[in-house]
Amino acid sequence: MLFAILLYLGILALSGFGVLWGIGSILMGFDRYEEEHAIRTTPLSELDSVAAGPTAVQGRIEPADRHIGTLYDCEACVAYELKIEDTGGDSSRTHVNKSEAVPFDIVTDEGSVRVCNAEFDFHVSEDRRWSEKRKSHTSPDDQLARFERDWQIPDLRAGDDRRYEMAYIEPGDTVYTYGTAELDNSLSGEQSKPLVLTGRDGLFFVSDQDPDELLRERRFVLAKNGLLGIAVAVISLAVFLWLTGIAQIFLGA
Amino acid sequence: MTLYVYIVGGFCVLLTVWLIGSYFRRAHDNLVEARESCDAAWGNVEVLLQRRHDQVGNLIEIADEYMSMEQNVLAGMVEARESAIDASTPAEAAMAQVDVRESVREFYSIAEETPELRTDEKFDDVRDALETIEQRLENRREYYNDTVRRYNALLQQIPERYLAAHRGYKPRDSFEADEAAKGEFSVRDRLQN
Repeated sequence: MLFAILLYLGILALSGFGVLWGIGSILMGFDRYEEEHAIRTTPLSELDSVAAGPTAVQGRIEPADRHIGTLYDCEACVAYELKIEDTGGDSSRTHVNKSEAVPFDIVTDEGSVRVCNAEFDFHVSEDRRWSEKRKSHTSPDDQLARFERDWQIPDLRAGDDRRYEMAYIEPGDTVYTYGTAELDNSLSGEQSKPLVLTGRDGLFFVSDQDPDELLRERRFVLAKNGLLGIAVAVISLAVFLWLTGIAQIFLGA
Repeated sequence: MTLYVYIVGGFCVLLTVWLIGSYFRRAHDNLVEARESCDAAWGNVEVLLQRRHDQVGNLIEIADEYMSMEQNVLAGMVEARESAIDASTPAEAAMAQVDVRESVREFYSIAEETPELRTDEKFDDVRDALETIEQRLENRREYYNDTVRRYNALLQQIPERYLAAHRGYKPRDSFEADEAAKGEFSVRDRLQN
């Protein structure tokens, strides 16, 4: 009986979540569509020909001042996204959900442009991703145990699973970056035409992938995400209305 | 049909209309943005073209001072500069650029034979400035042409093609003289006519 109630509540919650997920999927499709358009229509800039405005730059990363430090797989990150989450039964606990970046320069043959804030999206390849899942009955290796201590992660509860996900970029990586170039007079002592990339016009992302690869990944993404999102949202709504009894009581089903 | 079916079906229709409507709106906005990018890239080229007009003007002053015997070269530069200033489209500007470059090259070759001119500091400064401008102009020209190529490709896509037709957007000219024009050009021939 208890199992049936839990199952009922679980499906109900899932169907409610499904409506939101479907709408989120459509919005995600639009984000990727905008990125695809930006990559397709914005040529790579030669830095001495860049003026203020939407700009795509491809170059090597060099930290402007310092790097973040060792972070598990990454020995000298300049930017990362990290999430550590425990799941078990029908609950989940998020211990870390953080992104951080230090100022870094994207250096090309013609000059460099600075990225100062962490407000960009990551689209990194598998080489720059780390993910791991650990069950409560397994012990972390030394490196992972040290990592958990550094981040003050509590012990894993019996029966729970812990998932680690990290994306990062480090000095020396060749990255494709799209953002809005602005003149930054605070850097005027360092170079003749100090440029900084920001997310002022909305789109701001960094990727260690080639633009062609990014385009391939985004091909028909709006159609795919849109159709999937509509299907999931509509079916979830139908299930939600039915299971809550709204359909039978108020809607004449 | 029960109200339940209408509600679920209506939700499906609503999402579909929202998806399609947003897609067209964004496609339209992106088209306008791509067109503005072409304008911005051309604006960056024009800034350098203007600077080059100024430097060529300085060069003409120097030529006038030292090379009274070579009036035809001077006239060639003046004419090329004027046609460059008058150019109103990228295609015209590209043609004029060939004229300017060739007339300046002609001037340089004659300047090599004029010892007083070679030692003139002002001439050196103008020549260095022109070289720098030419290099930067080349980068900006490539960037502009790439922007235009991408914009013109966008105009071939659906639904952008129909949106562009509706707004009267036409493909843009790239900033390059055709090869025939480059090949046929000769300052000396022109000046002798």
